[in-house]
Amino acid sequence: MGAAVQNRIRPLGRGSSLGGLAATLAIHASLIALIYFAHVKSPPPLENPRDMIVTQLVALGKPRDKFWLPRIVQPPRPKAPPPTLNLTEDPNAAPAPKEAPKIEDADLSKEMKRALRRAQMLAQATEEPAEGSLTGSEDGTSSHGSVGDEYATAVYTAIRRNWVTPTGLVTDAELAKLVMVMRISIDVDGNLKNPVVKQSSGNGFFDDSCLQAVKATAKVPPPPPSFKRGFNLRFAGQELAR
Amino acid sequence: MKTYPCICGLLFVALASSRPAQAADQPEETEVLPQITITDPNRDLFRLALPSAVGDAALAAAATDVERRDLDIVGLFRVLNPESFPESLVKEGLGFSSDLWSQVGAQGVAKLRATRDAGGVAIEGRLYQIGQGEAPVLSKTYRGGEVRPLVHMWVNDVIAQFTGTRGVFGSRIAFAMTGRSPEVATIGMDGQEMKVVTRMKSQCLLPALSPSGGQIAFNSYLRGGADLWVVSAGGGRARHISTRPGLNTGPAWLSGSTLVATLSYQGNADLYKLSASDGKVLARLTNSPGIDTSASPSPGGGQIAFVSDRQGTPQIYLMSSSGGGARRLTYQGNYNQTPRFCQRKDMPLIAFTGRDERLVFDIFTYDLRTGKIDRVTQGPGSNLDPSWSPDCRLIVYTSSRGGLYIMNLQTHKEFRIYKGGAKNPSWGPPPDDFK
Repeated sequence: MGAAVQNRIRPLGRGSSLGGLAATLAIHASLIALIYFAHVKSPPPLENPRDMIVTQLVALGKPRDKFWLPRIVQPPRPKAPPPTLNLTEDPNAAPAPKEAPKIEDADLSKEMKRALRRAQMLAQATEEPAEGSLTGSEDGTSSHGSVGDEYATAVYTAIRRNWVTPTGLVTDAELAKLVMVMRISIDVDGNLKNPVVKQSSGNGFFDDSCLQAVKATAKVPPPPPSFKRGFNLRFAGQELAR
Repeated sequence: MKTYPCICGLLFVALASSRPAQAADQPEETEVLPQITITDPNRDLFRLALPSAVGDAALAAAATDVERRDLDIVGLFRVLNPESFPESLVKEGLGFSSDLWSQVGAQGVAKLRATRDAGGVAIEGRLYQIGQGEAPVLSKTYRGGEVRPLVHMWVNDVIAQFTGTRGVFGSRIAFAMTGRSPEVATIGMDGQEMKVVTRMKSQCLLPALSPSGGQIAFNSYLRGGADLWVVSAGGGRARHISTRPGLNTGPAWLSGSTLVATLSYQGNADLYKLSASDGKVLARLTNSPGIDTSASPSPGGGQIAFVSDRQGTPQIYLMSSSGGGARRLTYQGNYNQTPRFCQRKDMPLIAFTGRDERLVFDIFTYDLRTGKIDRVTQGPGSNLDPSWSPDCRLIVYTSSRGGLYIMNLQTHKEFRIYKGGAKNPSWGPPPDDFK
């Protein structure tokens, strides 16, 4: 019995020290693996990547006869500004003519007048302004939007406004195939920071134009509190939909 | 035994310290971020600054003029107004300050120094690109007898730097003059160095430069009817090639020694293959009841595009250069004419004049791969008689506005290179340094 105990607690001999070394290496390896994966493995996404898809609307008009030669479609002209009051600095200028008073037709019967008023009200009812927001977009299609999308749209609009590719140096055919992905961070004031090219398009002029767009934009509206500190910007030449 | 924990600790320290420093406001590299796809960028020309050349004053002024005109004509750049450059940039010489040029809106800067020494004229060029550092992306020196060809070579190299294909400045365009002296003339593609090459003193039309640029076939009414003539591109005495009864018109070069032209001596106006040296008929290529004319061989000469009204209205057709197998290409528009093949094998395009529903003539292209027709010009006025540059980047044409115009097919930027009366331009081969 005493010999058996002595055998169990005897100091590690030559053969058993190799086993100890192996055990230690195994522990180290597992620790290294733990540390490595803690550093390298991506944290699970908190939300799915959000992607904006831009819609191109077909212009209102008559379709072109297929036997006619094609025309170069010009972008629509910007809308004319609303009419403004014509003010004069001449103190002696004649007063503007007053609007002519409406002539009531005395011959109309009360019933007819009532019917006309109802018809006018009905007509006005169909021309009710679309539901939206005072800060909404002219091209908006929804009466409400989520906060996240609204912010992404603001970033999209600001950067796209400054995105100019050099026509001629990047041909239309090339442009249609080019995609560049850039990672940017946005600080609490809305400053665009640390642009990092994650995927080059392979075309220097195109990549430069994307970087220049971010540089020229410089600042976007301050992000909402729930914002995740950055975006992946995917610049695509002429992609309409994925 | 005691060393194991030490190793473990060291590994911990090493691994922990290998983690990149992360600013508090930066997303981690591995963090999944929302993605915004931005499409359909705005399109504009590349903004190129061309400050005045330095060096010998007279040479520098000439070099600056040639460089600005060339880089404007090619239609790839928006040449910035030099008056907007501050004094510090004007006095910069051949050096370059990226920040300062960026402030005036330049995306690139091309600089020249022109000097004269015992060996002739030397042109030193530097091309800088914003965002590519302070060193030039292109630096070259040219030596020769005259400023213009040297600057053309520099511009051709600048174009190659941006597009991968050299420019073709130095090539020439033949055309028929209109007005009091309706002779055949040639002009540099920059609209300079015009030279009248015939002295027919009668109406000359439809000149066609040979593949080498050494000869011009053309049409003249010197003997009353429409006859075919050939003259050296350098000028001299023209020799008649075909004076057969009826039409002898619309010559095109199938090779350096063979022409395709419309003849009607057998009754109907059809296409024939002729010897360019003596006008001998080598083959009859078409035999249709309509009028077949305005032939244009493909690069390599395997096919010929032409105009025929065999189905009622003038339309573009394509056939083998040995004749036969003609097929109609255009079904849009009811008056299509003057087809001209692009001479690059990788760009199977035919430019032609089409009349649209407003009865206005404009330039169009037909893509042989897709059958798609694209419009090149859209007014003002009527634009007609296209001819491709050797690199197929540009098209020269005439207009009811008068003169010769060049347009870049990609950017649609137009430049009037010649203001006088002109018809039927034919763009010759590229300069010798074209690769």
